[in-house]
Amino acid sequence: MWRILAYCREDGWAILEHAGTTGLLRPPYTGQVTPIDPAALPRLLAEPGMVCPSAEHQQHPSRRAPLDFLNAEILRSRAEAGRALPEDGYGPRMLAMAPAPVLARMLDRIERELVAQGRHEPARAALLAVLSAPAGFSNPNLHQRAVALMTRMDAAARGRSRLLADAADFSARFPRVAGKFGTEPLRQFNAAISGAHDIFGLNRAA
Amino acid sequence: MDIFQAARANTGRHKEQYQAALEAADEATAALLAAFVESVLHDGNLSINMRVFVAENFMSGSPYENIYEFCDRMSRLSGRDAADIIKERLGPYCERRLKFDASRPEFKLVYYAALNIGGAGATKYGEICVVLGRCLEADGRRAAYLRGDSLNDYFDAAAGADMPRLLTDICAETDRAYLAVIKHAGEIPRTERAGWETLVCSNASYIEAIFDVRPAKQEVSEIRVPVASYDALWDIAFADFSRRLASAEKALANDFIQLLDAAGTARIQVRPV
Repeated sequence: MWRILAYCREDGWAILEHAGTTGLLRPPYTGQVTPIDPAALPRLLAEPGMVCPSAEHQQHPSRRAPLDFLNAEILRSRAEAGRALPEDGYGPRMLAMAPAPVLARMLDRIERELVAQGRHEPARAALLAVLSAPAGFSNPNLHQRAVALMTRMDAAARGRSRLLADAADFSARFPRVAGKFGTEPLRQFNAAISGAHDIFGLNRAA
Repeated sequence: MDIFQAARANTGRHKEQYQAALEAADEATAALLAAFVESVLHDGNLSINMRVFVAENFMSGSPYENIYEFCDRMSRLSGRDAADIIKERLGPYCERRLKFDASRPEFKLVYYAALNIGGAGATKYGEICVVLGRCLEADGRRAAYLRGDSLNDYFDAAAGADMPRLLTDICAETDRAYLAVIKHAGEIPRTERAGWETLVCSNASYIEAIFDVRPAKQEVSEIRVPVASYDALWDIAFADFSRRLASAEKALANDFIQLLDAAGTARIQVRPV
């Protein structure tokens, strides 16, 4: 059983007790609860915004349940205070304020975790945010790295569509498809994908 | 005599203890103790660790409140009794806190910070270490310093506060470097200089500063964030491009953006340490 001793409705910090251990849970939630000395509790509870939960919200049956409760409380409290959280756009808003070392680290992660994994749509959005950020467009190194990653993704996309376009003997490779739709519609389809560089861009290209 | 007058009355006492420690120490240790004092005199500031949400409110101009001010405000807004709100806030620790604070009238009127010579402070109270750069007493305020957390280290179950010990230990701003060196005299020789800032202020221990005028954003000289927390905050930006954010992440990102904005407007640096 997970017990919330105290929490802050506005930001989701919480003091939890589980299996005889008291710990601090703080966002962004990573599943980690930092053990704390019980001697720190009186002072922690006096910190701004901390409250003890009502009896019905103290006990939670799983590790996940307190997180769901805290996430819901944050939404409620912000709405009640007339400071509802925007639905999206956090990444671009944050990066617009990021200093150059943060953007450099961001580019490392974009390259490693998005571009290299073929997740080109989120990579493109993130790279555009980096390029639009004041510290991004004013720093030649960051700018060049971001553009290089964009170019690398475009080249990869072109490579994929060329594979389709170059398959001249499409009918031979996919005889049943060719038999159903005819050779010319398939050639046009390949050309459209090739022009868009990306299958997700097909509608725009068409 | 209130605690601030007691702190003033103790002027010189901690320096005498320091000088006695210097005389008793070997040459190398004495040099380190002197260097430590120099470091506190030169780099000593006050810091308050705040959560991002609290720091954002503070830097955006909301008044920084102690728990009694907060409960009074909530009472005025809700019509509920302030004492009930305090009980709700402090839960099982309410009695201890009220008992401690009842032992001196000024305890309900003060604000708390920590002596800081560098680093991110006591992050268990918040990852944003707001550094107040100016000298409090030079601004006409009253400040007093204790070896540790008053509520924990000076609590007495019978009397509330262990006032005899508190009034012996307490010192004014002019003597805080000597209080610090006496407290850490045993650890200083075996701690690298780079670690002195952690000796002075960390989750494990800090020198508490008590002062009687509300801190204001105009006094902030710098905002420090531990590198791991700093990276975790910016990682939310990355996460936003690759998955759906949870409400807690959105709130944290939103508050961080507004904190950066307010700090930028005030020309205050937000620095990973």
